[in-house]
This record gives sequence, structure tokens and C-alpha cells, in this order.
Amino acid sequence: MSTRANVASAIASIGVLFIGWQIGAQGGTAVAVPGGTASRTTTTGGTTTAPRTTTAPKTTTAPAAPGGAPGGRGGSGGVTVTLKVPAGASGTFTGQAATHRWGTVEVTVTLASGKITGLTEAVDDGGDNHSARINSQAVPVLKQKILAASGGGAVSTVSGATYTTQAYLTSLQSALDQAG
Amino acid sequence: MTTTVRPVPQPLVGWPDHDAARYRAQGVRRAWARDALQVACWLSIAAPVALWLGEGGLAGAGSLAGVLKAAGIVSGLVATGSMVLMLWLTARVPWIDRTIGQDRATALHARLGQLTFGGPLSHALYLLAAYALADRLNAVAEFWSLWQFGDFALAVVALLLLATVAVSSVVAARRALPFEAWKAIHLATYAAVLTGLPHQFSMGDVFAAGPAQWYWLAVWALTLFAMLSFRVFRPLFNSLDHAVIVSAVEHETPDTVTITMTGRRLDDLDAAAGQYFHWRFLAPGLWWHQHPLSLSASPTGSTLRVTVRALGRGTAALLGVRPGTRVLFEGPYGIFSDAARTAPDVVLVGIGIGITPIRAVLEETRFAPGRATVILRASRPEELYLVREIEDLCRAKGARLYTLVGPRGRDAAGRERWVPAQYPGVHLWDLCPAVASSDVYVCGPDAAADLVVADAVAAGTPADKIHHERFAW
Repeated sequence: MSTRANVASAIASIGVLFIGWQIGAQGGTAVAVPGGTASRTTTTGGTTTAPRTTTAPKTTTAPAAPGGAPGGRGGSGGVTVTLKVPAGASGTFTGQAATHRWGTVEVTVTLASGKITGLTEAVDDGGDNHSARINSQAVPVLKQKILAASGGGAVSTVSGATYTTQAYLTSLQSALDQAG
Repeated sequence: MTTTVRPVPQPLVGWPDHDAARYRAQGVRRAWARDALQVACWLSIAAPVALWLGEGGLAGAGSLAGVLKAAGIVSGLVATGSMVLMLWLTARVPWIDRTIGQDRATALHARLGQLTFGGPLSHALYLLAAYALADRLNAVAEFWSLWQFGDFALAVVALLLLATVAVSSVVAARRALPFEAWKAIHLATYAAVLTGLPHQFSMGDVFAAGPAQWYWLAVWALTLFAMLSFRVFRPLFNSLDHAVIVSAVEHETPDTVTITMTGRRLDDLDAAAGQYFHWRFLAPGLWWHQHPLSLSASPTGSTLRVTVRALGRGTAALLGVRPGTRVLFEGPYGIFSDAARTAPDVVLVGIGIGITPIRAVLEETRFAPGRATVILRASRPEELYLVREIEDLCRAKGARLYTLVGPRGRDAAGRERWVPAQYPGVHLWDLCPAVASSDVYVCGPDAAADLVVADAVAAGTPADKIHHERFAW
């Protein structure tokens, strides 16, 4: 327990924590995945499994208020997924159910000449309170984001609901693919 | 006396400079290694928290539930990091052993253990509170909701196991529990670690993905590898390879025996006089006990020698061990040997049965005539174990020898002293004026040895020159 060792330990530990904190404050190690389709889905026997995202914001606390930028991280820090809406398509399509860690999402989308005009979803939270609460707060936020990009384009992950978001977008894309 | 001791080294004429320089360099090297180890220990706790911060861990901490959750995650990370560290400290890693000695590593392991139980407990309580708050449920309902979820039940089992171990360790520390019972319960920590593992990866999303997942997978894999190699395979391989058997058993006193063992190619073990092994004598009634015993003589290419006093039921059975008995061993461990030397002067203090490793160190370590002081302390004359051998070594190598015999005394203020009652004012520095610049080796029962260490500290001996072997579990 020399002074040298104590000082070195303190500097090293605090340094590492500080670097971690800085990276975290700048939006995590999250580097937006361009495109997203390639890394996004694997289809197995009718259900689509959302991949574990390597860049997930790590809190499962749901956003404070629907519509707000949750947790101060905004949309730019997390993963973005690019939606491709078939040009000129109209109608209502139901995507494949996407299973994720904490449940399943099945999205039904309404299109009017290549624009998303309506979204409904069947969300199974596995009977878990905590997941139910996350879903109930995250899904409305996510729907607003999608409607804002109704013609296709980047939609960022809802902080604190990474799995739900990924599964939702996976199911949605499969619905959109049916329209095309 | 046995005839298996290596020939006494020739008396040194003068102090060869390269030995002084070698010991100094050895001290400097070990100080750096010790400091590096300390930094590594702290980093192993800080790194997981930093990883969590790096992935935006604080992002959710805007509400009370978020703050509680962050506190729960951090305490879980710190607890896990410290448990991994504890496993490494008890894994008999050669580098750690050479740096601080396995006995000290084990003592550190025990101290961390006392601090660590608070970690998983607060992890559980903080997260329960955080989720209950977020879900607007009471604690019982939230617990029930989590119970149906993932590996939560296993995690609860892990926490209960850890609680059992913590309680038993406290009881054992008070000597209210036999060592074997304590050890059996202690094995439950492995079960606790294993049952606690799944929920770390499956429940929280902290280890679920990204760099943190890779970090923890690597950490657990390496830890498992170290535990298996150094605690299981290496001792087993060494025991089989060196085929050690008891070759001679001699009584020093009615309750003390010197056991000499022979084996093949023992040079390969790189054992040093004063180091200890965990011995297991494969004889009926003995095989299920493991005894940590120090070498009481320099090891040779074919022999190892220990001297043991019957202090408990387990060691009492050792008095009856017969030549020809197969021996399994783990070791050598510890740096209570020439490896700890940092200076030309040396003071060797042995108390009771602690005299025996002192005898071994005296045999092997190097000093110029007149630069070593040997102090043997015993309650009764017959407890000056191996004193004839020590006299011969002192004469041959030129060390001063003091034997202090008699019941332990007290000082003017009524505090216990390590010197016998008939030498009231005598301190370490009276017997060895150079004690402040000497390497001071102390071995004996903890209470008395601590008093010697306190004497050395009072004399101004720096902590890194005091080498105190603990009879650690």
C-alpha cells in the first residue's frame, strides 16, 4: 500500500470512469448503423427475431413522457433503422410477429399511396409488469417517430426500449415488404 | 536429527556486493509488481462501471426510479467485479503468489469477502425499489412479478447462498465453527457464483449485448481457466508427477514431529525454504484433511521436510503418519523465503512452532557474518523446536542467536508483550540495533507475531521490509 500505488490506483480508476462517462454522455458507443436492413433481421420459421443490438442505450427505464426526447439522449444517439416504404403502395398489411427478449410484437400498417397513415400493433409482454410499462410508454413515442418518417427513412431507437423498438420495426418492415 | 538436510552452506567471507545489490533489486522489482497488482485490482472494479457508463448507463437517471436503478446496477457491477477479484486472489495464480504471497492474497480475499456481501444485497434492494417505483407496485407484488421472470429465482438462490456463507464466515472467524464445516459451507460460494451468473446475462440488459457482454464473457472464461489450471490441474499433475511419499517421521517432542518426504525431480517445483504447501496424507483418517505446513528445511532435489505440532484434532492425527504414505500436495506457496529479502541485514523471529520456517529461511538466505539476528521465542524450553539445528546454522553462517523462554509478559501499562516476563523492558531494537534497516521475518501465532510486528514498526522498519507469515486458511 505505497503512496505510489494508491495514487496510481486512484488515477487509473477515476480516469477509466471519466472516459466511460464521457463516451456515455456523447451518446454511447452508438454508431448509427447505416441502412439497417442487412444487420437487422433474421427470419426463422415465420417469426422474425430482432438481433441483439451492439449499440443499445442501456437503460430500460421508459421515457418520461410520450413524445419527449427520452432520457435526454434524443434520437440521434441511438441506433437508427431505415424503413423502406414501397412507392405508391396502398392498403393494410400485417407483418410477421417479431419476437424479442421480453415479448412479441406484430404490426399492422395502413398505407396510402406510399405513405404510412396508420399503425396498429399486437404487443405481447409475456405477462410481465415491467415490460408492459416500458411498452406502454415506448410504443406511442415510436409510432410518432414512424409517422414523422411516413415516406420511409431513418427511425431511431426509443431509448430504454431497444428491444421493443427493434422488434416493432422488424415487424413493420415485413408488413411494408408485403405491400411492395 | 534427519540426515536429509542439504549440506550447510559455507560461511561467507565478507559480504559479496552482488548479493546486496541482488536483494535491493529484488525488493524494488517486487515493490513495482505489488503496486501494479494493486492498480490492477482497482481497475478490475472500475472497468465494468466505466463500460456501463460508456454505454450510456446514466441516461435513465433522471427520475428517482432511474437513480435507484443506476445505484442497483453499480452495486451489482461492483459486487460482481469484487467477486471475480476474490476468485483470482484465491486461485493460486503464480504471479500473485510471487508478488504478495498466497497467504496475504488469501487474507485479502477474506477481507474483500466481508465487504462484498453488501454489494449483492444492495443490488437486490435498490433494483427491487426501482422497479416497484416504476411499476407503481408494492415491494412484495414487484418481487412476485420479477419471480416469474427469467433467471430471477436463481439469482435469489445465489443471494441466499451468499448470505449463508457470510454468516458462517463470521461465525468461523469467532472460532465457533470447525474449520472443515466452514470449508464445506464455503464451497457454497461456487454454487452462489454459478447460480448468480445466468441472471447477469439474461435479465438486465447491461451484459446482454455489446462490449460489456464480451468483457464479462472473457472475464468469466479467464477466471474459470485460472481456477481450474492453478487450483485443480497443476496440483494434481504435480502430485502425480513427483510421486511424493513419507520417508521418515521423527518426534521432536511428544506433540511435534518432523516429517521428511521424498519424491522425483523436486527441483522442478522451484520451492524455497520457508514456503508452505498444502499437504494431504493418503492414509486412513488423514486423507480428507489438508494441512498448510511450511518447509522446515531447504528443499533438495529429492526431499521436502516439514515440522508439525499437534494443535488440533486434524494435526494430532499427523503424529501417527507412517513412512511410505503417499502424499498429495499443492504448492509451494508464499514469499516467506529468500524471495522477500530487500536488504543486507536480516532479523528472523520465530515463535513456538513458527520457529520451523524460520529455521528453513535461516538455512537458505544469504548474509555476511554478523549481519543476521535470530530470535526464538517459546513458553517452555522443549518448545524451542529444531533449536540444535538452528544453533549449528547460526554458528556456521555467523548469525546472533537469542532464545527467549518463559510465559509471555506484560509491559508497565499492562499490555501483552511478545517477550517473556523476565525481560520486561526488552524490545526488538535491543536485540538487533539495525532492525530499522533490516528485513524482519516473523512467524508464529498471530497474536504474538502482531506484537513483534508492532515492535518492528515502532523501531522504524518500513512495512515492505516486514515479512510476516500468517497462518491463513
